[in-house]
Amino acid sequence: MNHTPTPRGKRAGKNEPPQVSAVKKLKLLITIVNKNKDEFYADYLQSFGVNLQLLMRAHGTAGSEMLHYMGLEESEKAVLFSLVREDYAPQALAGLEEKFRTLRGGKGIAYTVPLTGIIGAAIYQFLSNQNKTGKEDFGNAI
Amino acid sequence: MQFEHEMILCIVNAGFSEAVMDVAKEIGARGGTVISARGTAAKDAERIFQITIQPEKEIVLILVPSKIRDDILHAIYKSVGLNTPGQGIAFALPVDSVVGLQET
Repeated sequence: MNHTPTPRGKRAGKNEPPQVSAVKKLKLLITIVNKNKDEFYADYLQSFGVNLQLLMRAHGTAGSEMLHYMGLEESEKAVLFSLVREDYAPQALAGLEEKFRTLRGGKGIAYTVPLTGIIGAAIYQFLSNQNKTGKEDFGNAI
Repeated sequence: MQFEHEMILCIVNAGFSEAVMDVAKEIGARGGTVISARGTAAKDAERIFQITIQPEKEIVLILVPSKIRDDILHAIYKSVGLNTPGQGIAFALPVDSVVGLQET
């Protein structure tokens, strides 16, 4: 098979985009789960190359009218802010969805918000779980 | 770029999160999450104007369909906006993927 290498950084063809390796973007993954499952989900997300997480106690307000009148509407929740690399976000969300469905008492909601800026190369490497050579570092993954 | 959902983030004085959720639910939001927080408004401004800004705040996160975002923001502004005792600030962030939402 004849394989022609694609020139990096130059236009390969008239209608093809340039073949450059762009910096991997980061996303803010927000996970809202029951309070007693906070540590579990924090640990689970670490396996997707997440190096920085922020855990907050919160309470949910969704509920039925009946629960509202009985005063049982509010429930203790944990909100988890995780910075995840864009290419790992779909896997992380799919993994979370499976846990939400299968884990007893593990129901929750998760969504990603794109980030538009970050400052500091070292911070970026830390957050995107990459070392200086661009290789992924899963040394501390579970 | 169009997003199907957006996250409304509303910062209000402590005790007003229920008011935020009440107006949001009237428009069509299904639920929200409330986090306790502490405001750090400019101390100079407080001194000059001789007022005290209540530092205890609540942050309300509400995930809503994009089409009702503006209605909810307007309703929040009217009932718990900066000119009300709730002194609320609200803004919306784009959300590109969601998992865990229950079908109605």
